[in-house]
Amino acid sequence: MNRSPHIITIARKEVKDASRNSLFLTLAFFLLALTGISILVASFAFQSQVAQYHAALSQLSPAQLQSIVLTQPAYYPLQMLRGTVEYLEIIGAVIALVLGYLSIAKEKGNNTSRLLLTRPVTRNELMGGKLLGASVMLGTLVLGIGLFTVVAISGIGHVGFTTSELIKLGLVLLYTFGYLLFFFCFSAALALFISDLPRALMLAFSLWLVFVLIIPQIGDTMDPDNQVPGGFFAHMHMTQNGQEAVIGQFKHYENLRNALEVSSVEKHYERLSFATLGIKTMYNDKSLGFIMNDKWPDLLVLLLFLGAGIALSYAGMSNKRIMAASP
Amino acid sequence: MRKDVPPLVAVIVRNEWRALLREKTFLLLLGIFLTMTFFSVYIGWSTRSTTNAIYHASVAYLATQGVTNVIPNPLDGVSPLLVFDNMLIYILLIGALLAIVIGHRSFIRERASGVLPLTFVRPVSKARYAFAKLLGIFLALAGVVFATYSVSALSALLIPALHLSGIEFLYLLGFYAASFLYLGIFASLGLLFAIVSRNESTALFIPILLWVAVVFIIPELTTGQNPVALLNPVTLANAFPDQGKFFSLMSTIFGPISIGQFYTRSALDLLRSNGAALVVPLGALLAYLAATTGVSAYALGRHTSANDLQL
Repeated sequence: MNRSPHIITIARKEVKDASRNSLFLTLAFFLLALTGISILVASFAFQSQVAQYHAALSQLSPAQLQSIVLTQPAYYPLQMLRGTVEYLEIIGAVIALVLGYLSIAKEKGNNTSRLLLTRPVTRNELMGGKLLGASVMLGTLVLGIGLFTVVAISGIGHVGFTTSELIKLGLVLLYTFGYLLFFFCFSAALALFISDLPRALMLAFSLWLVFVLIIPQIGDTMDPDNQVPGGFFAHMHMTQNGQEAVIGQFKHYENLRNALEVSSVEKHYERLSFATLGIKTMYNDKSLGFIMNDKWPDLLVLLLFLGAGIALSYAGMSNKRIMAASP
Repeated sequence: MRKDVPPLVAVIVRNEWRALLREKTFLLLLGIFLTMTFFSVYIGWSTRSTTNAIYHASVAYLATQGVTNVIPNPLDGVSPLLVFDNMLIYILLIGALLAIVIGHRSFIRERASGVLPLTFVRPVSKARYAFAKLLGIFLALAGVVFATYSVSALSALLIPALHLSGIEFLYLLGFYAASFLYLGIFASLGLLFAIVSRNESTALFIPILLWVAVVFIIPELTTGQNPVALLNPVTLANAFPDQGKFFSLMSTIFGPISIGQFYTRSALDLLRSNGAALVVPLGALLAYLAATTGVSAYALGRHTSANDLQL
């Protein structure tokens, strides 16, 4: 018996179901619209920075220009993607949760799981097929957003991408795919482990709320530099060395803040993506080797989360559980 | 017969409470909400006291570098109530989802259990039923908001270094009253889409998408701030549409429907103990609450006539 056709048949069914699901399609188009909005907003915000720079320049006398250094805002297309990455973190995760939930709920709700298990299909094939189907759907979604991003930025900014920028964008799309697949597995596993399906969905959402929105938000608002608009240390005219010397005296507080942030998979994905795209300015225009030398722990944690998610979803796929909630 | 009607309204209201307290989803979100409420004061206070200590350490460091003309502490004179500013974010995020769930489950529960036709066997008019249903939802929401206020006030008392005056406790109560108006809008939307949509998931996701628009999309379009930055109360307090023509235009278009910004403006003013500019944002919130409640009541009356009664 050739095993692979079973997986492919199940994957094909998953893709067919998802592409016919109005909720999934609505959320996917919503995310695409959000990508467009965030690129548009970033472009106008950049134009506004340039206008402010020119306005400041025109108000300074030649004598003042010699003593005051004004830095002209520089355009980097990948930096326009901050909002897009943030929407992928938040809404992308919701789409993956919905997809994971629907993938299991429809089998339990329609009683098709009982029928499916009468066929010579193993539980691993069933989960493998579901994962493959989800990978195709999430991969298409991520690729679609990537292509839309390239077209939108080239169209709005009239600036093409260099090969290096395209590779970096491709890498971020790959991280996004892994991040979304984790949420798919997580939600599918909850729907398998918890027999009450609406409860499983709400638990998935509650955990999304805690780990994607609340915990990173606490870490961010606890940052002393975020207590003053424009930054506390900039307000105090502190140099980088001075800032480090002062913060060094509050190591326990900083460690607690960092520990909160790194407990969320979202923060690892964000740090990795922001560094690769150069949104975090110290990594802007740097080689991938330089970025990875610093950011490999975030990549490792992202992969560990993904591995744990896949393992959990396979562990949940037992005959007893897949049939547990069948009415 | 008239004598029987008021008790029936009370029965419907009481049933809302009982059913809600049996909802595990509601209890889970309420648990998260109250836990975050309890910790938010400590987070706010700890952040502020650490930032104050960092200011003094910065002054000492600058002195070693020969800088004596140091900028005054930017946190001096800031209202002590601003240690609660994280609650603004939790209300925008968790509170709104909780309110959507309250409204959504209120109708879905009855439709799924098939009790609507039974309710109308009793001498109750649709108008009275809609009134009782909405009253039940708003009383449940008021209970949640009051519990949140009590947890906030209690946790503030547990921090000895945080001294709040009686007036400040009143402003805090005002902050939660404004929050009730904001949450009431989402509870009404949760109810409205549960009534008009036959699909349970769609009924839940439409108000959630509207919530995403209110919390992230509209503020981003009008201020140019990124979505995650809008979850920082300091950024939120200083996010003004002053970045050029595009954002001014967006502000003109979306300003009147920026429910999230009406709420943040009024809530931040109340936390700053500043009641001077509250009329416009609070009036707008009240108008939106009246409108969404009115539409929900109308939908409740219409949809209980044929589809759901199945008479």
